[in-house]
Amino acid sequence: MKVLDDSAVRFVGNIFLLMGLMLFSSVGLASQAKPYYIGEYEKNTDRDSIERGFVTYMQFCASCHKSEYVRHRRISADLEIPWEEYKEKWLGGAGNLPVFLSNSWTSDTAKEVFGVVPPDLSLIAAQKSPDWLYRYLHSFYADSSQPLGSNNLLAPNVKMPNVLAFMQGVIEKQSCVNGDQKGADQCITLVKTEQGVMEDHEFSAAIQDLTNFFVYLSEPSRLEAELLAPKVLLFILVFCLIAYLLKREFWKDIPK
Amino acid sequence: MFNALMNWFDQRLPILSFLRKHLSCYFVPKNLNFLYVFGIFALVMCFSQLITGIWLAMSYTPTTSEAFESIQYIMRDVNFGWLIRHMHTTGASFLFAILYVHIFKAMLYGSYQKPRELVWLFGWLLFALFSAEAFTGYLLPWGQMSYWGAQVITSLFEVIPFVGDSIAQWVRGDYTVSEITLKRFFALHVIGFPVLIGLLLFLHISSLHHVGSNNPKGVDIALKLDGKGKPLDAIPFHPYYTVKDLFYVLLMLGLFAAVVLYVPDFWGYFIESDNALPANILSTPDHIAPLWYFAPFYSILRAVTYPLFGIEARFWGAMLMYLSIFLLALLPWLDRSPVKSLRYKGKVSKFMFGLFVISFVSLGVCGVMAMNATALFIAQVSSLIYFSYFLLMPWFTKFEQCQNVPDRV
Repeated sequence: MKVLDDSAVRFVGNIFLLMGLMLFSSVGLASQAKPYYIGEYEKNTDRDSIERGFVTYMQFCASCHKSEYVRHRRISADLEIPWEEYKEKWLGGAGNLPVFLSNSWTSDTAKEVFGVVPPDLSLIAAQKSPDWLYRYLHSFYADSSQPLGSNNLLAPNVKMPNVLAFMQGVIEKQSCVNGDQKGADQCITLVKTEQGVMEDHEFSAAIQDLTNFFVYLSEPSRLEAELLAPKVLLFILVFCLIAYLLKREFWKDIPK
Repeated sequence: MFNALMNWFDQRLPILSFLRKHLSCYFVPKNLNFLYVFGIFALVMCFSQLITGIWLAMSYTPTTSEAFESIQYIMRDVNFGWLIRHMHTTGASFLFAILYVHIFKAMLYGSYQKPRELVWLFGWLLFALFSAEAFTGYLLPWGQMSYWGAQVITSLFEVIPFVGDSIAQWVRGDYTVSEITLKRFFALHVIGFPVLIGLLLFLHISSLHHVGSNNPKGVDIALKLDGKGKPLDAIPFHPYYTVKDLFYVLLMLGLFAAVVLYVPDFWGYFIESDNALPANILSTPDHIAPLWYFAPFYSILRAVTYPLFGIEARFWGAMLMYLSIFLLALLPWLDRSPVKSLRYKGKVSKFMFGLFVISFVSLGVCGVMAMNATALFIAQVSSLIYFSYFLLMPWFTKFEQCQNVPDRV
């Protein structure tokens, strides 16, 4: 009886498991059809976020892109990473260390390989807005007609491959109206068809960090300026108050 | 000991009597309002531009290959270079904002009228020189907008019949904007125009101190004197206006510091995003716009779209733009009103001045926008109002009914 009971329980359990899996996969399929949602970029100068963005940059951007106005020493100082640790981790330890965020590509070889020289990223956030960068990095989609298999909604036919695809998953382009209807070319959405190693919110957070790093890279002094600002404003305010009292005292002599 | 030393100096160079004449015994109407501090603001910003400019010139290289890089060097490697540069870029915009309010005040209270015509004319020349200073300075970072802005403005000379190309070439020193242009603009920006500005500032303030300040009521304070010959409605500049100005200057510097330290690009109005790209002679930006302070005049330039007498529209646009600035210089002779301040002028003057201010602001807004049919129409109507204000002024100021000006402030 006990054996029967166990097998019956197991049978019922298996039925429920199967139903659960079916439900899960149908939910999965339904979510595939949903447009890929890109949130809003939120500007912040949080050092931890910038540092996480820096790690992403060094792992996935630095091998093709240069940021030649930026010194390694400056990043190590601003992000408070001890120079020895920085050197060991990112510059291969001792030897002839590079001063700037550069790489070994020459313009000619880069052109030969990519068809274009990858732009210097020192000022990318000043040239394009941070919001644009954030959306651009989300807007790659699979496109077999392109040599490197990907394209971008914000920069059509861009030569840059989708290097972060393994994190994001596979994104495809879909028309939001039926193919034969009017305006099918204009109305385009992105849909996610395959899960990457990151959940959507994790990927967005990574892009947020990377964008924060680009904003920092464009104007490293922003961190210093925002630390200095309250002190300067407080000094002027106190001085202003004293000047006001002085003015009031002197102007008491003057009849209206 | 100190007094003896001061006397020794004063006998050889009249410092004390100079200070007495221009500060403690310089009498100013006691009813000057907030609008009157903008002259001092302008002086403070000039000084700030001079000091930050000297420090920028120490690290800047005026060559096409290094200009852009040297700006990045200043922003990233020079100690407090970012602060010096942002003070300079923000300072230029602040200076123009201050100048516009300063000019508005003079127009509102009729400060250009007799006997202050020369004060106005020197001020007008200063405005023209500041514009030239800002225009030459804007090329120096050698960004996309620097280059194409200079290209557009210098090419305006090309449309002059027969001699246009030669003049444009003479201004640039080359067929297009090039390193020769960059170097001559640098020389003019750091030496030529600042020296002239210094001279004009001296003349502007000297002529003002000779005739004295006007006031919001436009009352002539020199007509009511006490027994000692001192105007009854006046107070010495020092200490009363020095302490008042000190307070307002600090307020202005607080605002200035907040912009410099928090939003130096002022959402693209003080530093444009296109200027973060090095100049590229092969790639024209989609939308070339001047900085906001030139926008009203640029709008007049763009508002002309019809060619006349076989000469292209750009030429007539440029002529109208220069005329719009030139008409300001004629203001003391266009205004025939017996009263100075708008407070006592007739209804037509008040209405026309209101329209003028609205048209100027509308021209400014249209000037920073990309050109479209609506913006063009608004710019054309606003230009018409702008010119009507000046050209109709001799009539409406002469025939309108004015109010009586009080005897005292």
